[in-house]
Amino acid sequence: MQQLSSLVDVRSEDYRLNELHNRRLAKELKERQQVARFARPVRDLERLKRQNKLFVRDRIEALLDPDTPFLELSTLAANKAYDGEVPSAAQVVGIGIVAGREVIIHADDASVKGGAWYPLSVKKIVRALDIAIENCLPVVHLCDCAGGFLPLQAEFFADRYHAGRILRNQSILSKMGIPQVGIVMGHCSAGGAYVPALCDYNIIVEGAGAIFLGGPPVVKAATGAEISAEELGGAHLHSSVSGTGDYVASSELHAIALARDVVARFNDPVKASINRAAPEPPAYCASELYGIVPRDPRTQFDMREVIARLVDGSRFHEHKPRYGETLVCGFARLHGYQVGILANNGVLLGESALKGAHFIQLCDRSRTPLLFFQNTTGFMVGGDYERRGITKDGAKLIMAVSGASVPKFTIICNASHGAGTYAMAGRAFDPRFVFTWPQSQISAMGAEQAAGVLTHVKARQLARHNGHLATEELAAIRQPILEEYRERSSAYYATSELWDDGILDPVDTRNALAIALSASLNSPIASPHYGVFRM
Amino acid sequence: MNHSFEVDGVEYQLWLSRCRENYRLCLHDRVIAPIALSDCGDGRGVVTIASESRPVRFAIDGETVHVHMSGETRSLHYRDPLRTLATSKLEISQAVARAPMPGVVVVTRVSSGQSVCAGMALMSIESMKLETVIRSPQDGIVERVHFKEGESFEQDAVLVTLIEERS
Repeated sequence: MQQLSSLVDVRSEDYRLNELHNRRLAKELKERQQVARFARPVRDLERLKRQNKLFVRDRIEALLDPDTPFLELSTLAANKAYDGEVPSAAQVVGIGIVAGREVIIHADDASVKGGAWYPLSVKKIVRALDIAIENCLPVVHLCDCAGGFLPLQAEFFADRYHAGRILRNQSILSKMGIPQVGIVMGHCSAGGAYVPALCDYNIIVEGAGAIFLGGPPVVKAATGAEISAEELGGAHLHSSVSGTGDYVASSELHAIALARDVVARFNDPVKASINRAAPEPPAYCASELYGIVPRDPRTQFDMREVIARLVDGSRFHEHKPRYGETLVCGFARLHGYQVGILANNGVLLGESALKGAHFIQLCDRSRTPLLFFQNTTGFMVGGDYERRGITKDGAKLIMAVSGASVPKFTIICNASHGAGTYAMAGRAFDPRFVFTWPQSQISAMGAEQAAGVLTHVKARQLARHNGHLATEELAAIRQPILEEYRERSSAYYATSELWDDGILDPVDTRNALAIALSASLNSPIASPHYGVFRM
Repeated sequence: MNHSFEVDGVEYQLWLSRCRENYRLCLHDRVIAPIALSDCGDGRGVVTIASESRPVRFAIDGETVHVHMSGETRSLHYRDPLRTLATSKLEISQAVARAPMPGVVVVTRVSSGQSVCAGMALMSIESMKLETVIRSPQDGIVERVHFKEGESFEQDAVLVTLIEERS
């Protein structure tokens, strides 16, 4: 395979300004993550101490094998919701190594609103369990949630992907033979009571942990009976009387040791075998990505420069390099795993779509996972293109993306708009993981264009009543529209709503993808089959 | 969660993980690499610590490893987290011996005031044509034996109550 040769001039003024800009974005990301992970009101941390509970991050550290990576997902979930008061949506989710096994960890964060489930908490837990199902990963639940946040129940209770889905997903995992371990570290009541109950194995911490459908106040209100939490659903009741619990732990650390012992006993996974070689680092340094991604998102850049900084030896075997050039397709290796890459180099044309659909089928045949690097403003519009069947060709690409059986991974590097978002394996197309770079914009239409359309519509409505609008008046209408649109198409908004699995500092992309790839191979890869391609 | 070993009364938290060649050892905040052991059989081997190789003799006895290296002998005791982290909290419910099933007392083996240790036979009962020995759940003093020989009882009935031994 040939090594890509970079054309980037690392001494240019442009490079320097890009680097300054992107390093600032990366720093801002790290700061926001740090706050979401650790900044808590003192009284909440003191309450945990009083209750003899560890902070959720310390629990996870004790659970994981030391000196192993933990890929945390959706750290900034809910960062734009609930006035920013529910960091990480009160949940920690990630892929880590426990007793040598890749597992999904799902932990309630009792330092945020007592671990109450908000609508986005539920979305995050459902997503964690979807990941477990898609990738056949065992789950360790660290349960410490007293129930849902009732004022918002209409947004998380009854619908298909609401809280019931957590319990449904747990049941499906068990049916698939994928084990789950639940550690009850606080009160698990109402729907939360079923989380440990539906685990194949559960452990209750003496004193702090309890499981009940209705807590002591609910029982008192309903029947007048006064009963303590320990008597109602404590470790001893459930482990020796009701059978709802399996193991009693004398402390949180003892519970974690028990959970590690349970996980250590799981059968070894049979990983899907794909083309693999010895890993090697890229020939170009990942930190050069900071100078390559333009500070103005509208500036075009060659995605091969990005690929050269992510793949093994910066080697890339390009497929059809001279056809449909706005979509770069080719084979490479990432930490030794062979992958097929599709990356946007401009607006999608009919030829690019055809090439992409062709390439996906090649990868699917050879059991090669697919990486999508998005920087797309969508498909080309215009009479000429429609006559040549661009919608028909776009449909072929979407058909191929939807039907591919190999694992797909999507990185939103810059722009993600219109049908381009879809055709490049957007969230709706079930890529195993979606990650976003900090500057990305994700929306149906670019902000400028959308603001133009919306301003035009509004101006026409107003003009009907008052006649003509002055330029200043138009600008006054346009500005707030543009600002709101920008805000709601930012990477931070996307990650807040869990449209992705987290924002990545570009230099971390290679490692995150390697962990995701390795995790994805826990599930078998079905043989290739597709729907009808419109010819 | 780290592994824990005790050497000469001092506890060490450590973790051995794979690295490109051999292993690396994380000992508190220190990282030592590469670490390797080539086993020559018969309790002899060569241990490599940070590129320095030395002959070693060792014997493994359950959870204790005796190591002889560079003229010194040390015993490393593995501290199983399942055992060291479990601090048994005696519950009041444990200070009684209950009937596992309905039955009849065949013979009582203790009387009130007698001190007993955990696992000692308190009485024999008969149930479903089987004789079962009821044993003490903990050390203590018998406060009361609730049924006489020949008397019958229901499931979960308290057969013997214990009180804590005062020292």
